[in-house]
Amino acid sequence: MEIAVINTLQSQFDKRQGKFSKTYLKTRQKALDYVIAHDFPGRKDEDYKYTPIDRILKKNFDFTKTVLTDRTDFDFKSSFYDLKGNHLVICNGNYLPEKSIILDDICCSLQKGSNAQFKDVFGALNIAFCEKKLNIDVPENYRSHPFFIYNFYDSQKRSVFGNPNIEIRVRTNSRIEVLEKTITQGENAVFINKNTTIHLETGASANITKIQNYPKNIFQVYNLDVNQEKESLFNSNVYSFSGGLIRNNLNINQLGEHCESHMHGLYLITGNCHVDNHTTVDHTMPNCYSNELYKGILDEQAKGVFNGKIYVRPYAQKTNAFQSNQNINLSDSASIYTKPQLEIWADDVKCSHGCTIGQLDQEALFYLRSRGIDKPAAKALILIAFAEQSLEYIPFDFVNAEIDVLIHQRLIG
Amino acid sequence: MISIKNLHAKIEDKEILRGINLEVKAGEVHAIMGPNGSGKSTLASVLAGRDGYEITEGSVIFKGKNLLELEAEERAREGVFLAFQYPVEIPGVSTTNFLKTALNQIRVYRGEKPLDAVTFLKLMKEKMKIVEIDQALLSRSLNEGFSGGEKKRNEIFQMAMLAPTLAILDETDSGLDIDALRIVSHGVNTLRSADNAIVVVTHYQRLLEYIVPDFVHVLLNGQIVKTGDKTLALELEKKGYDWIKAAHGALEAQ
Repeated sequence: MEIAVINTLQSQFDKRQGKFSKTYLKTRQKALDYVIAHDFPGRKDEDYKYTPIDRILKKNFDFTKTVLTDRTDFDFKSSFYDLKGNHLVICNGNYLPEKSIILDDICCSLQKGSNAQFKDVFGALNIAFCEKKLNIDVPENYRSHPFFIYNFYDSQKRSVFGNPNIEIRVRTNSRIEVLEKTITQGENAVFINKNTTIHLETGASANITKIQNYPKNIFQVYNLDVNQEKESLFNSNVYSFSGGLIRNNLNINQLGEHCESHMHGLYLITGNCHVDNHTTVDHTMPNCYSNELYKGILDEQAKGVFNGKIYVRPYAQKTNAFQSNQNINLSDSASIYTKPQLEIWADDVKCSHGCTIGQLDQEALFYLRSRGIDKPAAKALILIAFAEQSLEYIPFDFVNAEIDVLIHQRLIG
Repeated sequence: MISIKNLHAKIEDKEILRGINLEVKAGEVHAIMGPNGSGKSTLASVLAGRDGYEITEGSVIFKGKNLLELEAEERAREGVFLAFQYPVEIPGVSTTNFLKTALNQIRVYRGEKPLDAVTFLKLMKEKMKIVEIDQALLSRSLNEGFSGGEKKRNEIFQMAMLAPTLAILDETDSGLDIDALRIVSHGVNTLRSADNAIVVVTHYQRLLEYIVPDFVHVLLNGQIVKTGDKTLALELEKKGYDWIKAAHGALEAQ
C-alpha cells in the first residue's frame, strides 16, 4: 500500500478507535495490519487482470480526502418504494436502524463490527472500518416481508469511502427476498467496498436482486459470499447500467445435497463504464444444480469483464451445472473480456459452459427493416429481446418493470 | 407497377446482374426461373434493399418512385414485400410483437392511424386462417425452432398482414413438403388481386402448378434470356436449362 494511503487509513483508524466497540477491536487491528501490508490488486493478479483496482483507485480516488461519517441531509424516506416491506437504510456504509422502516423486528439487528475471517485486502478493509453492520436473521419456518436495502452515499462535501457489511442468515425452511438499490448525491468520488454474506440453512431460499445504476463518480467492489446447506435455493440477479467502476464478486459454496443456484446478470453499458462480474460456484456435494446466464450489451468505450468459475469436486456426482455469457458489442472501441472456466473432478455430471461475443445481427436487422420497421426501432427490438432474457428470475414485478424501463431508455433513448 | 431497366448490380467485385429488364403490371404473376447462380436471389435482394450490393447501372421505378434511392424500410412502406428464402431467427422477438411495430410504422408512413391492440389482434386472427398458422407459433421467438414449413407459412402470414402491392417470393417452395406447399400456395392465391403483383423466384415448375404465372422468365448469367407463358416452365422441367444455355451461348458468341 502506498505510504500516503497507509498514513490516512492509520490516522482515520486512530481517530475512530475510541468509538470502536471493544468486542471487535482485536480483529479490526489485525485487519488493518493486513491492509497495510498488502496492495490493492492490479494487472499482475489473475483475478484483476482486466480490472486493475490499484490503478483505477489511484487515478480516481484520493484516500487522503475521504471522510468516514454517516452525516447527511438525505431525505431517506422519499426514496423508499411505496410497498409493504422492510425498508432498510445504509448510509455511507453504515446501517441506520433509526432511519429504517422495519416490519420484521425479529430479523434485523445492528452489529458494531465483525470477527469474521477476511480473505483479501477488500475484506480486511471492510472489517477494519465497518462500524454498523446489518444482520438479517430469518428464524425457522418464518415468512418475512421483502427486504428493500437502500444504500445512500453522500459525497457533496468530501469523498466517501464506504464499507457496508451485511450478513443474512435464513434458517431452516424460511425464505427471503432482497432488493438492493443505491442512491447517491454529490460530485466527489465514492469508493464502495461492500461485503455481503448469506447463509442458507436446510430448505431455505434467498433471492437477491441488485440494480446498479450509478453516476460516474462511483467506484464499487462488491463481494457476495453465499453458503448453501442441503436443499436450499439461491437466486442472484444483477443489473448494471452505469458507474465509474463496478466489480461484482459472487462466490457460491454448495455445502449440502440437492442445492440449487441461479445467477442472472445484465450489463448494458456505454461511455467509459467498466463492469466486471466474477462468479464462482463450488459444487462439493452430489445432486446439485447451478445455472448461470450473464448478458452484455456494450457501446462506445465501455469495458466488460466476465469470469465464471465452476468447480465440481470429486464427491459431487450427478451435478448439473450450466453457464453462459453472451455479449453484443455495438461499437468498435467497446471491449469485453470473457472467460468461462469449468473444473470437473467428478465423472458422472452434466456441465456446459460457453461464451459468445458478437455484433448486432445484420441479417436480423435487414429482416425487420424489410417489414417496414426503421433502423433504430429494429435495432432496439433485437437488443431489448436479448436483454430481457435476463429478467426471468426477478421476484418483484415492479422491479422487472423498473429495469425494463431502464433498458428501454438506454436502447431507445 | 414496377419497371426494371437495364439493371446491373455487383457484390464486391463480382458482377451478378448484367442488364435486367422486367416490367410487372398490377394483377400479374411473374415467375423467375433459372439455374443455380444465375442471379435470381440477388435480384430479389436488390429489389428489397439488402445492403452489400452495388448498383452500377440501370433503374427501378416502383409506382413512379425511384426504388433504388429508398431504404429497405421505406420500400416496405411503399408496398414491397420480400418472402425470405431463409427466414432469419431472432431470439426473444415474436412475430406478433414485431409485426405490430411494422404494421403501425407502415400505417403512420401512409398517414393512417396506428391500430390499437384489439383491432390488430382481430386482423391477425383473420389472416392466420389463410395459412392455417397457430397463434402459439406467432408468440414464440421468431423462427426459432420452427420447421421449414412453419417458417414459410409465417412468411406468407406476414405478407397477408402487410398487404403489399408487390410481393417477391424468394424460393418459397424450398424446404416444403407437399402439404405445406399446398397451404402456402393457397395463401398466396388468396392474396392475389387485381391491385397487386407477385414475383415468384423458383427452381422448380412444381410451385407454378399451384401459383399459376402469367409470365415465366428465364434468368441466365444475370440477364433475362427468355420469356414465355406457363408452358415455358413445363418445357424447362422436361428439357432442363442446357438448350437455353446453348442458344444463349451461341447468341453471345455472335
